[in-house]
Amino acid sequence: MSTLQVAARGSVATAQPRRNPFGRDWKLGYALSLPVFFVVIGLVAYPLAYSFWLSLQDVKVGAPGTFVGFANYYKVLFDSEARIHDAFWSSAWITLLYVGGACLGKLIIGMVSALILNAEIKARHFWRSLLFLPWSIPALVTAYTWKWMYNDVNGVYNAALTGIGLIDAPILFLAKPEYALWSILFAVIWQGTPFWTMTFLAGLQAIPGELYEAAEIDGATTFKSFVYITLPSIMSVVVVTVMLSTIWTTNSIQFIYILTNGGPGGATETFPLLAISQGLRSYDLGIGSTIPLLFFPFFAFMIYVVTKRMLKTGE
Amino acid sequence: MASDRIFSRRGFLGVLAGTAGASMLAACSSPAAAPAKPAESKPAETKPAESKPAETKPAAPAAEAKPTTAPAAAAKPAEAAKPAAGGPVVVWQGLDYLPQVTSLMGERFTAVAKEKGFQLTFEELPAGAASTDRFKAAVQAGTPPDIYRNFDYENQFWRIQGQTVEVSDIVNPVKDQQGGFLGPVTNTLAFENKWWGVPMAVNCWPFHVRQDLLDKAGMKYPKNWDELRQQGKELTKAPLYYYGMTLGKVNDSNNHFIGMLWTMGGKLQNDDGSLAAKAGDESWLKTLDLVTQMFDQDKIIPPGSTNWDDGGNNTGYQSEQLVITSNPTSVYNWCLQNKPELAKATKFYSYPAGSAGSFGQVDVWGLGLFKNGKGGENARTLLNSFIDPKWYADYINNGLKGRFVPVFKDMGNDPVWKQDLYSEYQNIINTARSMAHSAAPLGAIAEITSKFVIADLVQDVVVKKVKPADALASFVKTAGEIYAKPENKR
Repeated sequence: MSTLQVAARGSVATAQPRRNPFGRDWKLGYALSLPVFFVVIGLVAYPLAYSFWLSLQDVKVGAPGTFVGFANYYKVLFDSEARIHDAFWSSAWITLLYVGGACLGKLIIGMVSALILNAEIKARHFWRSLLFLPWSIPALVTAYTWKWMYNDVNGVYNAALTGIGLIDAPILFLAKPEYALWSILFAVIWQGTPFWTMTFLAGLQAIPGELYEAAEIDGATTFKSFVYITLPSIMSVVVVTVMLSTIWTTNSIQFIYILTNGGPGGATETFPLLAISQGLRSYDLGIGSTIPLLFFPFFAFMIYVVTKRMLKTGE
Repeated sequence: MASDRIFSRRGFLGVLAGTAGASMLAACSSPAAAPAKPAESKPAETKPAESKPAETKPAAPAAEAKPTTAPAAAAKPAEAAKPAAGGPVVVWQGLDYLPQVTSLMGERFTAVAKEKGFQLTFEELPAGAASTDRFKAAVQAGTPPDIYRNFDYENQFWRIQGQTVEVSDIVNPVKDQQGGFLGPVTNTLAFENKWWGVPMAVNCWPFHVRQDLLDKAGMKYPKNWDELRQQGKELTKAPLYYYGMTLGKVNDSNNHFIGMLWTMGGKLQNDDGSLAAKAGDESWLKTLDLVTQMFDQDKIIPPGSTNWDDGGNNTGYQSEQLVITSNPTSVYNWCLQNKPELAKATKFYSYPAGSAGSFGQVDVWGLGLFKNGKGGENARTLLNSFIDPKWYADYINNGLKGRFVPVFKDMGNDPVWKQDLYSEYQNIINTARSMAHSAAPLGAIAEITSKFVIADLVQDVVVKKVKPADALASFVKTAGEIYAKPENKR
């Protein structure tokens, strides 16, 4: 066989078939993706778009709306004459305090708890179980329990403090603007910390012991080991936990709703609560839709960061 | 071998995907409209209360929320829709503290539906915000029940939004019977001589008073606010407080403040429906001063009341930590069932007098007929059966035993109202005012109430320590904007 013939045969053998622009098995692929597509459109995209559409209107529940463009956004953000403007900025500030305080508290206590539980201590399993207990109680039950404990007349705190003579008059944990937010934060941190402890503990247990042994041989102190080995090793876990908890804490209303319902005098009214009170309680769907949408970019960014990090970790 | 397989993996997945797609399409498509059935004579179903969460199905914006350049004021309230031919009727009723309020109504409707041969779904919703939120979501989605109980201003609110239909054909034939309706009933449910809700009940707000404690201290119920303050200081010994006045951002705060305001000569609305409050208004400032004196100086109001919800004063009284509080008789009925001794020790009174006198406080409940319901004539049949004076008298006086005041004047002469417990009731009924006094509760009242503008005023003064004059000026500005809206004047 001549080399020419071989070359010709080779070229025939390697001739590429015509590619379908949609890719191989595209019909099956799209058919299998269709349910997800419907779910995303029906349960995510449509409600979001409808919410945005409502925010562009002056509309009460059950009434035809009047298109007002971005007037609601202007009113909420910039119209200092409007009562909702003050309420919104106040709620934004309170949300920041609430979420920041809750996350910081859970981060510090969660990290310390995880480090203790990761150490060789006696009855480690018992302590772990005990520490995770608050997280296993439904949030509603927890919130009502704290409400009763904080009660000014017959709550356990006031009864105990009065009983031992530390106070004459009851402390108004939930009825004084100065105390209300801190009282709620205390309850939220108590309930939410176990999740942080659990995730940090999982991260800590994944760190190879050899790293600490090597550091010890090199004369590293416990503090330096923590700073140069522990923290970098669990940083991705910390970041994801902080991000997720920030999103959850910001959106969760059960503690505030039950303990103070945003009071007294709006001292604990976070923006989701304000949105509910405007939209459903006060029938004002336009303003009620505008408020949460103003925070949408912030959440979208957080979710983007979390997703990116998680995928990166997965790789 | 591959060639032996009946299905390739790809073929199998293809069939699976096709089946799933078909199933989804079938599930998403609305069922074909069934041909109209002839009236069946099987008993109507009365479903037990379900605590389903409100549907989160977003409303179709297509027809409801078209952008329009016309001002909102141009949107006319719904014309009296032509009653549709009867279909299955859906009734939603929020549970009351007294279960008979809904259960007896359910029994009545069920019997009527059975007799007339149409289907009925009577659903008791959980009490409170969960039920109203679900209802509002259903209205927005265009799927409300046929009949729903509206509280006070809600009757006019849904008319203004074009959601309810006129029911004059049901109310007019009975409105002059039994001495006619009490004043606030017409004020609340009628508009321009047309009825937009079927009168259900007058909800009274008497002061629940621990008569046993007054007797023990050799005291009588205070005639005026000065006496009340004096008495309060003598009887308050924490954890027992004298006056359970709600100061939180809730409905009860609205009621408690307005009831007090009337005694000082103030009111929320003028006869023509305009805002009565003015910056520097003496009666409003006197009322605010009185509240702060009782709260800050006399300390006869529980300090925690600034954060009470609507159940705060109920709980306070029921747990024997209050001497007096103003509330519908749900508090008393709870005591009857759970603390008979406390019920026995309770007596009802009207507001202590201020410089302008004393006035009873009421709100009016109505049954609204919603235009997007499917029941048509059958729903009207049920409403007719409810307002039938003979059945209604039995329901309100024998069935509910004083939970509500009847909407018909002469039914207040029933023996149930002659009991010693209700000896002061006639005084309350004779001077009865609803929040909207002295005009109808139109859109402005709905917005003022639902946005808690009055409660904000109280909180500004009591919690934020804003000067009463400044707080009132801020209130007048906010309320003025609400009253200025064209859609709130209809």
